[in-house]
Formats: sequence, C-alpha cells, structure tokens
Amino acid sequence: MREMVRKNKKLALTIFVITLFLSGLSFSGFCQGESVVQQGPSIEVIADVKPCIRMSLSTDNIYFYAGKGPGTYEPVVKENPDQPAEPVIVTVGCNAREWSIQCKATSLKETDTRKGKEKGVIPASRIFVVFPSYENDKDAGGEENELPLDAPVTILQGGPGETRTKLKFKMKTTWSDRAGNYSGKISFTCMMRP
Amino acid sequence: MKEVNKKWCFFSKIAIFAGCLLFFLSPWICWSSPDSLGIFLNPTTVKLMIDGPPKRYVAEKVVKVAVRSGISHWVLQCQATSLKLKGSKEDEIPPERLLIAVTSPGQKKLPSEEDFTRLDEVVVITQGGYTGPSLQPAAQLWFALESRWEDKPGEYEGKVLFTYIANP
Repeated sequence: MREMVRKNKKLALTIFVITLFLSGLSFSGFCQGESVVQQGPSIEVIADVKPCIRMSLSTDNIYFYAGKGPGTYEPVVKENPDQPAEPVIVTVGCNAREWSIQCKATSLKETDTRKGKEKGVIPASRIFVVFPSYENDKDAGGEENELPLDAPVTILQGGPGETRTKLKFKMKTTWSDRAGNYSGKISFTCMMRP
Repeated sequence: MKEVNKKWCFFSKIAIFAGCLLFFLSPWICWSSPDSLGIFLNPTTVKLMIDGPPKRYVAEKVVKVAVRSGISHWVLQCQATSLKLKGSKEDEIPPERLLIAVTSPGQKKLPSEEDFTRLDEVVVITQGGYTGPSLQPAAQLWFALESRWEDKPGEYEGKVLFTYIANP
C-alpha cells in the first residue's frame, strides 16, 4: 500500500512539474499579447544594368539654298529659304563610363539629271559641322569647332548621364557645282566603353 | 492511510487532466510565441533586367508570400538596402529607386504605376491573425526599379529585409 502511495506521489509530482512548466510557457510574456518585432526572411535583389546609349536629333533633314553663286551657305527653312533653320539639337543619353558621337557626311549627288548626263557632286569635304567644344577637350579652349565631314568628326563625348549640344552645318559651293538639286546623308555613330 | 491515498489519487488525477489539457493545447500555446509565425517567400531572389534607357523596370517574377501563424495579430513589413555595384565601392542605386507593389495572392495583372511604393522607408506588406498549422497565401510582391543614365553598367546587389510585429 505504502509503495502505491509513494508511486502516486511521484506521478503527481512529475505531472505537477510538467504542468507548471507548460503553464509558465503559456503565461509567459509572449502570450500575454506583448508586442514583439522580429527579423524575418530576406530577398536578394539583383539588378543587371546593361550598357545603353540613345541618341536623338531634333530634325531628320536640313536644307541648303545656294542661290547667290559660290560661297558658304547655312541651312534654311525649305518652305522659306530666306529664313535660317534652327540648329540641330543632338541629345545623347548613355550609362557607359565613356562614350562619344561621331559625325560623317556622304558627298551630295545631283538628283535630277537627264539620262546620259554625268551627275554633279558636291564632295563631303565641302560640308562642315560647327559644334561647341566639348568639356573634356582641353585643347579646344571652349571655342566652336568647324570641321569638314569627309572624315568622322567627334562632336560630343562624355560619361554617364544625358547631354545635349547644338550643331550647325555649312556647305561651300564653287563655280564647278552645276545648278540643280543635290542630296546626301550625314550619319552619326555612337561609341561607348562600358 | 486510505484518506491520504485517496487524496493523492485525486491530486494525481487532477494533475493528469491538467497535463493532458496543456498537452493538447500546446500547439496553440506554442503558436502564440513570435517564433510560431512562419513567413515563406518564393522565390527568394529577384532579378531586374535593365536593358534600355531610363524608365521603370518591373521584375518578371513575383514573390509569393505565405504565412503560418499562431499569433492573434501580426504585421509583416519590409525595407530595402541600397543596391551596390559589384566591384565598386562608390556606385550604388539608392533604395528609394527600388519599388514594391503588393497584390492579393494569385493576381496576374501587372499593378499600375501608382501601386508601387518606394522601399527606402518601411512598407507594410500585409497583416493577419491565426492561421493554425496550415500555410496560408498572404500576398504577392512585385518589384521594380527606376533606372537612370547615371547607373553604370554591371550587376548591382542588395536586399529587401522583412520584419514582423507580433501582437502590435
């Protein structure tokens, strides 16, 4: 009988201890509704930025009217040749560490020749670009450059960001240029070093 | 002696009953600690491909958030670190250009521009209460980045850190 009482006592005590422990847990601070800020998981964010360059021009054509014989002409408004045209605005956006824009012209060829007649040509060496010296060009000294477009001319260069510049063009005519309409292209090349 | 034995028998029965009660209630008792709030994110990596001029780029994959909670009330929030360019000590994308939009689970429609919030400050994702032991979908997270020309090419890395408040 005594043995049984002892066993019961032990069992009751053990259960008591467990009960107390669990009660302690359940009535601990966490369960009383205490506000707790905890660090949770995290997300790794990877942004893969690719090299990018974008260039835009304020116009896609310029028009020279050489109505006064040999000389140097600047672009005019086609519908009103007495009105000078606005300079061409070049806008370049790039995220590369270094970039540059080059400009080059083709020769202007006569467009309305009759069959069998040789086409008149105004060479690219007589088409000029006038542009402000870019900041990084220390040799240019902040003046305007005027260069023939028969070879690529670097008109703009820089680093990450957006840049604008105004370009003016000129054309020289001589007595050897036959009267007529001529057309050609001025092309721009973007180069960058990521 | 019989009196004593009866007393202990009664006592032990009470103790057993209390023990059993606590045992069966233990999941709920356990759930009510902050550790019982389980937050599951899938995937845990978000990749943003910036392959054009400056604009808002939205990550292709959404992050699904599922929660298992034994807390009566909880709030899930997050905040981002800046994204640092690998191999550079200076170049970084600040967290205000990293954006988040929270939608309900299962939504496939891209959130509108106004739905995105900057992650330089703490953003509340969602809140809720008990879910029991089962995992419940809680939200979908869309991440976006506003790029600039000043962001040099390369891979930027950062983190979105989640915190939760139990019983706010």
